[in-house]
Amino acid sequence: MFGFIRPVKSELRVREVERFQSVYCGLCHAIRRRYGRVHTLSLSYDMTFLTLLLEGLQPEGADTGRRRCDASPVRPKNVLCEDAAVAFAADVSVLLTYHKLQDTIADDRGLKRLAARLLCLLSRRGYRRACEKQPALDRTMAACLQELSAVEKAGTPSIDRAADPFARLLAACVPGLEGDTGRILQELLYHVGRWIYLIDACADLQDDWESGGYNPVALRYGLTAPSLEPVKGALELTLEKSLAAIYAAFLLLDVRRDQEILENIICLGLPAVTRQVLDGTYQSNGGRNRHGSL
Amino acid sequence: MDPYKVLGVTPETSDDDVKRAYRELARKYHPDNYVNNPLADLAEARMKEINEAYDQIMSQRSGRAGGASQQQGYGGAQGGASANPIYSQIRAAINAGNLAMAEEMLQRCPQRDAEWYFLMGSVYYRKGWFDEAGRAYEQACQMDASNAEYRNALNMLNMSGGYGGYRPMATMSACDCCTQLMCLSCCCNCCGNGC
Repeated sequence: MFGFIRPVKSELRVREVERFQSVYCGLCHAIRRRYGRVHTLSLSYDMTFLTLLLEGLQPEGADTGRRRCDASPVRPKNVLCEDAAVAFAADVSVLLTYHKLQDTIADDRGLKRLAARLLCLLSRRGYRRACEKQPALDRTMAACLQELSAVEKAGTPSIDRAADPFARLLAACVPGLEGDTGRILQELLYHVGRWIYLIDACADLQDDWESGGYNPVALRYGLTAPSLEPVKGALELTLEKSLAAIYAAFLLLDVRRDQEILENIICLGLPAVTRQVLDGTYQSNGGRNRHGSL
Repeated sequence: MDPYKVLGVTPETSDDDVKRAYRELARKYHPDNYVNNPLADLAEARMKEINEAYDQIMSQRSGRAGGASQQQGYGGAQGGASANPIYSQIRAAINAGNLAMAEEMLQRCPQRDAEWYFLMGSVYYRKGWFDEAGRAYEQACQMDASNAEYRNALNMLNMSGGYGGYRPMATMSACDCCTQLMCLSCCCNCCGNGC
């Protein structure tokens, strides 16, 4: 479910690419410092987007330092220092990943489930620490995922109803922001969540079809074959509506920095992934083993 | 607030460039981009700020009193009126942004007529449930094919363009563009009626 939210690198300036990478690394370092090495597995582009968004709302931007890490042990890299926004995104990463693993244990079978069990065991201590820091968020996540699994078990033939719990889960990932900013962020993240859930359902259609798993897109349109072709137009429209809602909300945020990168992600990256998934040309690693470094 | 800051220009910027900056911002925050959007009130406030800033700059520069900007009115998203008093209450609840109440009132309604489906669609739309909204609007149109309000709502939903020029997915053909302009002018007419 992770990794759909990414910028289109070829449309970024060189300094924007460097900035994106320093935020990515900053989040990773924050996760490692706060929760330990295992949890850096929960690092994702999606959470980098959240970090950029929240960082853009901070009155004072965090500094950038130079640090080494496991992936780059010799040459230090530019790293965004930890501030409230980065720390919050780190908490969200750890919580979300743990709940996702729990979800996998409940729903999946075989090897995948075994791996999830193992990772859950390894990350339990960090998860508990994250719970102490964000108790309300942890409860909301658990409640939303429980609703989601009920919706899936009932075989709900509605894409909106199926997407709603996950969308609300993401909308809850807002640090206690006052007034309008919080409202705007919630609306923005709701539609990011809706989009992620639906795009994930589209990408998983083939797998779900073979395994007989729940797929809201197949049920909503009563598909008779595992192909998105007959309903591409309708899906494109409804996904585009969420993208437009994300952008409409984003325009109302007073973002202090990284406006260009965020606009790149919203206006170019998300539509590109949407097109690729609907065409069946999407590759989760961004193509040619490029995962992890954009 | 400094009007130049609002438009993102400086006192040295030429009139033409100020106008361009104003148009660009007005296009982004135009009411049409926030129809049925839960954040419409914020967009309206922003648009007002932009209009005022532009008026102020232009009147300062020409030494006359303002009124240069195109004032765009925010029509109520729910334009039409209902014969049924319960539906009027539901419309009021939707307009006030109280979706939970509107939905509950709708669920309690005994009859499921065209207007019921239209209002349910409006609730779904505001919640961001665009697919369900489309289904409800279609049902409303089917049950009452002559109703312009329902037809407009459905057209608005199915029109992928016109959202602040934000058309991420498609490349627009000339023909497409005309249809959209036609649709858009339809919608604007409908919004103008107000509650």
